[in-house]
Amino acid sequence: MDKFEPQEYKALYNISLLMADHISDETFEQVATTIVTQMDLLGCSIWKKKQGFKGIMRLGYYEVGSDGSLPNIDYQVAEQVINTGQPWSKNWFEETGSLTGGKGVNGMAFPLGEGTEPIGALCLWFSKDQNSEVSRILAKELAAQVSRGVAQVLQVNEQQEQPVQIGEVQVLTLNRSSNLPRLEGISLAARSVSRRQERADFYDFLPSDQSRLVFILGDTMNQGIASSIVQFTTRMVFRAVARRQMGPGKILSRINEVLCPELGNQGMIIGMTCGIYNPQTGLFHLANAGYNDPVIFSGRDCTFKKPKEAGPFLGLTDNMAYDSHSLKLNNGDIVVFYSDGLLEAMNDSGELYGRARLNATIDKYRLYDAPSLLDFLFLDIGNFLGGRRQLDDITLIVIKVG
Amino acid sequence: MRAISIEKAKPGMIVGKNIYNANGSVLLSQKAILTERYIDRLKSLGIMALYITSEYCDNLVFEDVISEKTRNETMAITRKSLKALKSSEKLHVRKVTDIIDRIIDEIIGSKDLLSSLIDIRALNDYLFSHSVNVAVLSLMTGLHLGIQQQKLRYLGMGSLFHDMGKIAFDNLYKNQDEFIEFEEQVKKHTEYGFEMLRKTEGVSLLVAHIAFQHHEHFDGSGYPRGLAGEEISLLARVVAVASSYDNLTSDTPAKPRILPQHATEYLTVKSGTVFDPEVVKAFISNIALFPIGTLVLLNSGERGIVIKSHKEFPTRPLVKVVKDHLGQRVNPPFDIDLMKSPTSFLERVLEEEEI
Repeated sequence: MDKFEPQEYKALYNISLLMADHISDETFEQVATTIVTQMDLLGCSIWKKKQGFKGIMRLGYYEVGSDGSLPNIDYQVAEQVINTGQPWSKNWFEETGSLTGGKGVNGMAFPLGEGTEPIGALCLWFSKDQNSEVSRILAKELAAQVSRGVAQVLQVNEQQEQPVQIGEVQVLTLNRSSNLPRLEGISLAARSVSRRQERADFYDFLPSDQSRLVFILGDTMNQGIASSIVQFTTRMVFRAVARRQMGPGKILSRINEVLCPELGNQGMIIGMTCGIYNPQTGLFHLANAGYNDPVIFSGRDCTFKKPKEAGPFLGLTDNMAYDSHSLKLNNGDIVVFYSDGLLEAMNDSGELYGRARLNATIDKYRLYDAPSLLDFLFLDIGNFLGGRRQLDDITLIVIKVG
Repeated sequence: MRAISIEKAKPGMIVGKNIYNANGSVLLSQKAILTERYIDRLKSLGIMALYITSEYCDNLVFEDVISEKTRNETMAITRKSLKALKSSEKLHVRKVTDIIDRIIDEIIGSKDLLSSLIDIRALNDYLFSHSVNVAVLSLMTGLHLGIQQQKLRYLGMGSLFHDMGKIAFDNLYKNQDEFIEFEEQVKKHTEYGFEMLRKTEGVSLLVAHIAFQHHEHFDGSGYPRGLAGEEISLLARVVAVASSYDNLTSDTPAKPRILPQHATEYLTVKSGTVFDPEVVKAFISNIALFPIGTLVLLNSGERGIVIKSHKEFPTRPLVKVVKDHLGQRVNPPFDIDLMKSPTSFLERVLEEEEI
């Protein structure tokens, strides 16, 4: 065991006392205060990872005077440590130059928890001249102590906080993320939000095709483990069967052929649409198996085009042929695919969001690129719902030409 | 700090930003505590809105694309110029072009800044502050469209003087009923303005045509001549958009202001008919849709305040988180930059009482 200074022993001891006691809302504030005052640090924070959802939450924070920039750096560091699971440290942190009279601060942060998935983070901030070698070993000890407390909070939360967490949304895939294909001449955005662990909506972009946009968007009609597996399998089948020369109708037919017997056994059907866009020709090819008609907006005359009628669901019979339907897209044209959850989002007055409002919103934001338009659509849904939280999944894919 | 309408002002609130009159004198300074008397006085001066400090955002810095000094000087020069033009005195063209050059320099210097200011103006000064705002907004748009130096100057001068024909109507903004009666007559301001400007020494005919054409519609349905598309000068098409936007986002006795987000929606919906779509596109990329101080709910359940907007990412501002997803106060607050945090997005705009 390394040798600690007497006050460091004392700090460690006090923390272990706090962690052994009943953990309340104030406990972590006390921990942060104790660490900072007894070890003569500049600041300390304790964070937990929100369960089941993206994001982190601060449990405790204490600092001795700064220009207000420390909380921001602290947040960024905590987020990084929790996401990567790696400890972090930096000497002479330039952005904190204005702290401590231009001397900057040193920072150190550790993931909390015993497993591979961090449950939180401990961040420590101290002045540049402090002996960081000893502190580092001590900090690890501190992190181990604090981990116990945070683990305890998480256990309690699992039992008690469940209803509250409905306030949070998990986000499947993101606009502007590197997961989406990048194609010259179009902007693209997709997002699926759900308030449950398991969702009914799913989508996939064919990663192997660099010159065209090839994607599916589907709905397993129910949630649960079985549908999660079906979604995963469907995406893999899609990736396996899609070939260069195939139109979207053929892709759907092939997916159906492969999946149909198994879906039948599970008593499941899938609503799905498949789209292919070729930026060279400007042609958009569509096929639909019982899914919602996309919104096709013409930027030139601001009108909405009606697509061909949808075919039957996947999983009904194995030799189903789906038609492909093609249309030419010009600069400024927008295509939006959406799940049932969007149309059926209901506000306090019992009104449904509906297709008319969706069309109007697209019209209002038609001059923005796809990622911004997607953000505006979600914001409009949020404003429509007001204080009420929508419970169903909402999935949107936005494609804008030009 | 955030803007509220004068009707919502209450004694004890703290003024967040200097309130000026058109001469640039301070009516009430920042940090002043509102009293019943101050509020009455501001109302009688026709001040429709003001900035107050707010519990959650007392340290916010409001950067404008041009400095307060330049804005006030431009107001003063505009006022003097309009007076001179009305009484057929000599117009100091040089002074006007100098201030326009300065505005252009400041806009270029403020690079990343979006127009986020909710202008606080006295009703009597409406014409002048409207003119200055339209000039700033038009120049930002003009720069975005790549309009070159000399034309940019014409755009600046034309936008400052676009409504000058209105000085022919006294008490234009004083009474809302009169305003409606006036409406048909007021349409003449485009012709009056054109006549006055084209006869003024040192003023380009292009400038006069901005006043003449700024109520023309892209589809030919506007006035006075029903010009369409390219028949309307590009400069006038820019001023048409900027002027409408400023009218929509300002309080007048006839109507309260609407939010920037809704004003840009209006411009977008009317693009192709009333407005030139290319101009609208350039215009809206310079507007902060969620002005500093806007209260928002994030998809994480956290609540916060918009403290900065990013030019290329209108829906992804920098947000100071003040309440966590359980509704607990976050103290001290920390910032989440939506531009760098793809998993986060704005779920809803909140009212003051919801935070």
